[in-house]
Amino acid sequence: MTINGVQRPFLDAYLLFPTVSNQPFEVRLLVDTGADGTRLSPRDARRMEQELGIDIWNLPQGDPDTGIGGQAPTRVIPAILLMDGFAALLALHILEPQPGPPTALPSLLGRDVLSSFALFMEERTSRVLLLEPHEADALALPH
Amino acid sequence: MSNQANSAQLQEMMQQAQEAFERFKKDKRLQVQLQAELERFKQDTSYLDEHRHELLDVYPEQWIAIYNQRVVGASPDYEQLLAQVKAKGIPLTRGVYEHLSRKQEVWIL
Repeated sequence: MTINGVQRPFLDAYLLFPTVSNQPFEVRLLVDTGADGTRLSPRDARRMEQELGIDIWNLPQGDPDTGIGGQAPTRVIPAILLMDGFAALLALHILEPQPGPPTALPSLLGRDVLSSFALFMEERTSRVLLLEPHEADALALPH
Repeated sequence: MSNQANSAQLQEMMQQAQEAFERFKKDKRLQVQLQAELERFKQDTSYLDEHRHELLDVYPEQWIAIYNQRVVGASPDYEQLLAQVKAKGIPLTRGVYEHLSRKQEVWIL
């Protein structure tokens, strides 16, 4: 995905929240190798709240996230993440909305999921690939 | 909520979800259905990426929603965008939602 000449590595995914709904939730996730865990942004959480009737303030609190901008409080909900044949159960952290309009910052695909794959990213061909171990081994890359 | 109650609530939810996940892994028909729906979502995200510049000309500094490769809502206000999409009977769980801007934003996450 190119935004104003900046290519950002997004992957398309589905989330299921089996404790509250059977409806799949469509979300774009920015691949973030610096994020310890996958995160749902406040703007995506707002869609989830409105459509699925989930009150995030009633969800259990997670540990606050620490980033460049400081600390951010989180809530946690169990979620099944689906991406092209891959499925995983996550304790998905939601960044608590702050007062005012939401920012454009997206939801993040963190290392709790990325650790299952070898990540290949190439801006030249706009490719973001999550390779399974046997696919990565077949590349015979140097150690 | 105390830390203990918070932790117990999360543990109970994760246990329920684990059971649902085990059922999901056995339900091949649901997996195929969801994969097909995911392909539709990917077409929506591709539409946004391929038409971003044209869309930016029409909807500068606005939030837009795309569903089935069509713009189904646009507004400078995110809440108003969600209301527009909902008024059209489109579930907010579906589609791509994006803020279009000419401003150069540098993301350091």
